[in-house]
Parts: sequence; structure tokens; C-alpha cells
Amino acid sequence: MIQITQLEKSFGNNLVLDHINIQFPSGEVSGLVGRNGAGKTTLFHCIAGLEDHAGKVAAEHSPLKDHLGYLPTNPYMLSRITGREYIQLIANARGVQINSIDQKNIFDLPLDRYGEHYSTGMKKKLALTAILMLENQFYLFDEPFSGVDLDSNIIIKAIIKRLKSLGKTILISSHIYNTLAEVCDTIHVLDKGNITKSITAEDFDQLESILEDGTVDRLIEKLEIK
Amino acid sequence: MKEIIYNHLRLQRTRFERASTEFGLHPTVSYILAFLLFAGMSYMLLSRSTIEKWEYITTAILVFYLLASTDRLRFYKQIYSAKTFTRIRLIENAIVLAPFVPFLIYFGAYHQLIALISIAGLMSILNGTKLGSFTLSTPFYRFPFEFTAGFRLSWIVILGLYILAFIAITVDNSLLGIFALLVLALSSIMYYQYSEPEYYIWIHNMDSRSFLIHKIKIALGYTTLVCLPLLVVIIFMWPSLTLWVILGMVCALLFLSTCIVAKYSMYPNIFNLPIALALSLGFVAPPILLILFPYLFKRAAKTLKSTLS
Repeated sequence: MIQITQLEKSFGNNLVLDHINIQFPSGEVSGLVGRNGAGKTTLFHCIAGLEDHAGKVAAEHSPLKDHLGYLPTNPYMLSRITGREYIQLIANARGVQINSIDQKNIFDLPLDRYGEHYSTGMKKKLALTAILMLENQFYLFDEPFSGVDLDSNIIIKAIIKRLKSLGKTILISSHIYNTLAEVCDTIHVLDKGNITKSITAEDFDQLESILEDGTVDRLIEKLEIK
Repeated sequence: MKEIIYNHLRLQRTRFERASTEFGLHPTVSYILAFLLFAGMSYMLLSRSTIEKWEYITTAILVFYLLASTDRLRFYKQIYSAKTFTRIRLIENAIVLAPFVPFLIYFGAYHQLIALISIAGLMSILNGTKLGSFTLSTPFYRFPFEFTAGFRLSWIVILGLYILAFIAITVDNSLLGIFALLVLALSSIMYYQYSEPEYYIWIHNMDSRSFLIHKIKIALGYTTLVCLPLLVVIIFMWPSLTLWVILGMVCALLFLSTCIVAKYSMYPNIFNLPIALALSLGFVAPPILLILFPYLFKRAAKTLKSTLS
């Protein structure tokens, strides 16, 4: 479980996260939605310890970062490092001995090619493969489905479900509501630095209408498309 | 096209001047210092033997090589037409070549001059695509990333230094051999200049002190591995110099360790002027490193604490 209490984060005068109180239980998949710039990635960074913040982030395993698998939106690949070496690097960093990388290469990635030459989706799959080899207790997935092909999306969904069955704590940010609704137990709406709504599975069908709130039609009208 | 090329070159000058300002030096001071250092190096190397003259043009070749990096060339090919791309490459190499020419003529190093002009022309027509299309195997794959990536970037330099050492042995020039060995050891510093994204530090499940020790251990281990064959041969060839060679190696390794902690002491920024000056002093007078290393180690551990705790 991850317990967030009074989390606040500002960049200069810009308050990005405003006293957030929320709990992400073990064995559950929590979704996070919100407009671009709503603060989803900043919240992930605060949970991971990549950003200083006010308030508290607590978990039953401490320090949280050493038990956390974080998949960034656009995983950065160092130049002249192969996919295999990337996995080795992440494993070395966590002191994990990994065997049979090829067997665990379920996305069939060209591991002996430089990671920097991978496509966006391949980079994401490589980063995910590396994270899964570390046997973490908590997972933060920032846009895990975007830029990834259909087959891999199905695999990623299955991975998330398997992690859930193992009692892991999973938090996913995504703009693809249908996919999110398939895997999440709860979806939280982040707006202007606050969690404005938390929706459980039985109300997911209302999700898009809650988010749109009738504003989309008005915006499209402004374009005066002819 | 003239205007595109002019704008390109102006942009490169602006980038250099910004880097100089960030480093803490006024661009004019940088230009003057660069000229003085270059003139000094030219005089030092060209007034000696033929071998040093070849060493002199190696520095220019190294710059040509850096300018021909795959990513850079790929980007240029994306934004410029084929004709403009070729012209820019020729002009860039000509700019690098220009300061070498008068010195080479003045010291009568005509063979080196012809070789350098030919290499500059040849490297201008490299388009970069083929260079990046294969994965180069490296003995440093177990502990990525600095050495793994660094070796792939500079294998040609390492090869060149080994050839230089071979020449030194053939002509029985011990100083040239030691020079090749020390440059080889110090070239590892280049691998540690890159400031990796925070994620690659954050992912380590160790405190900041252990992280720094881990980085230094890898650097020292791999540098020793690269240098060991050369070290053994030099000691075997000139046994009377054993103590000096080992002392030189120890100083080089201490300097490398200090550069690593200096990088992390400034993270995520690059070196500033006081740190660069302190390192330069340590390079000239290695005992200074005995004070500088622990100081920068403490500072680096403090800087990385928030990312790694």
C-alpha cells in the first residue's frame, strides 16, 4: 500500500499538486486520469522520490524507491548501449542477478541492437521488461499503452493483471480510458492539482462523460470547421 | 544556401559562447586561452621528433572524428539538403584544419600536412549512417554504461594509442610509450563527462556514498583492464622505469576518481570554473588530489543524497 498525505508540490509560484491525500491499496490497480499538464507525471515523480515535495509518501516497504518499478512515459535510452546492456544496467543498479534474459524477452525485442535506435514503443517495452525483472512490490506506469502495438497492449494488460494477483500495488496513468477501465479497480481524476473524483469499477462507463463534462462540443464549435 | 551555411556557423559559435559563459569564462577569454593553449601545444609537439608531429595531427583527427558522430550527422541530413550537408561538413573540417596548417608549414611538417588535408577531405564525405548501423562488441558489457558506451565511441583512439605504443617499442622511445599509456588511462575521464538523466541514478538501491564507490570501482577496474597489456609490456621493455610507470598510473587513476566525484558534486550541472581550475591544479600537481578527492567525494555524496534516499 502507498499512503499519500498532504502532498504539495510547486514549481516557483505554480502550484502543481495541492495537498493531495490518497491511498493506493496492495493487490489493486489504481488509474490516474487528467488533462495534459494536470500533474500526473509530477505526482509519479513525487511518489518515486524524483521530486522534492511537501507532505508524506509512505509505504510498508521502506525506502519506497528501492521496491518501486517506475516506467516513465518516454524511457530515455543512453547512447551506444544495447537493449541487453540496458537490462543489465538496471539489474546491476538494484543488485539483482538476472539469468535467461532471452527467455524473458517476451516482446521479442532485438536486444543486441542499440536501445537509442528502438522505436518509441520498443523503448517502452524494453524499460518494462527491465522493471519486471526486478521483482518490485510497487509499480508506477506512466502511459504504458501509448505508442505500443496492439499485441503488446494485450500482453501489458495481462502483465498488470498478473501483478495484481500477486498482491502488488499498481498505479497507472493513461489517456486510453477503455484500456484503463479493463485493468483498474479504481480510477482517480486529477484536475488542477487535486484528486477531484475517485470512481470505482461499477461507474467506469460514466468516466468519459464525467471527464468531458459537455465541454468538448463547445470547444469544437470554437474551431468553426467548414 | 550561403545564408543557411552562415546561420549554421553562427549558431555553432553561439553554442560555444553559451557553453563558455556557463562554464564561467567570458567568450573572449575562452578564445584567447584556446589560442594560447593551441599555440603552446603546437610549439611543444612540432619542435620535437617526427613522432610528436604525427601525434600533433592526431588531435585534429580526433576532432574530425567527434564532428562525424552518427547522431550529429543524421540530424544534419534531416534538416539540410544533400548539397548543403556536404558543404557544411567540408567547411566544418576546414575550420578545424585551418589553425593546424600555418604551424605545420612553419615547422616544415609537409608529410603530416598532406595526410591531414586528405583525412579532413575524406572525413567530410562520411555520411554517418553506416557508422551507426552495427553494434560494436565490447569487453565492458557487464557493468554498463560509461565504459560500454565510451569504448564504442573511442575504440579508434584506443587502437591509435596501442599503435603509438608499438611504435615507441620499435624505436625504443620509452617516453612515448609512457605517454601512450597515460593518455590511455586518462581517456577514461572522457567517458565520465556525460551527465546521465536522474532516472539512471535514482534506480540504484544504495546510498549516495555506496553509489560513488560503486562508480569509482567500475572506472578503476575497467581502466586498469584497458591499460594492463600496455603497462606490462612497458615494464617488460624498460624495467628501470617500473616505479615511475606505476606511480604515473596511480596518479592517473586518482585523477580519474577525482573527476568522477567532481562530476557528481555538480550534478546535474557541468563543471564550473573553480572545480575545473582545482582539477587542473590536481593534474599538474597530483598531491593536491589527496585533498581534493575527499572534499569532492563528500560534496558529491551530499548532492546525490536526495535522489538516492
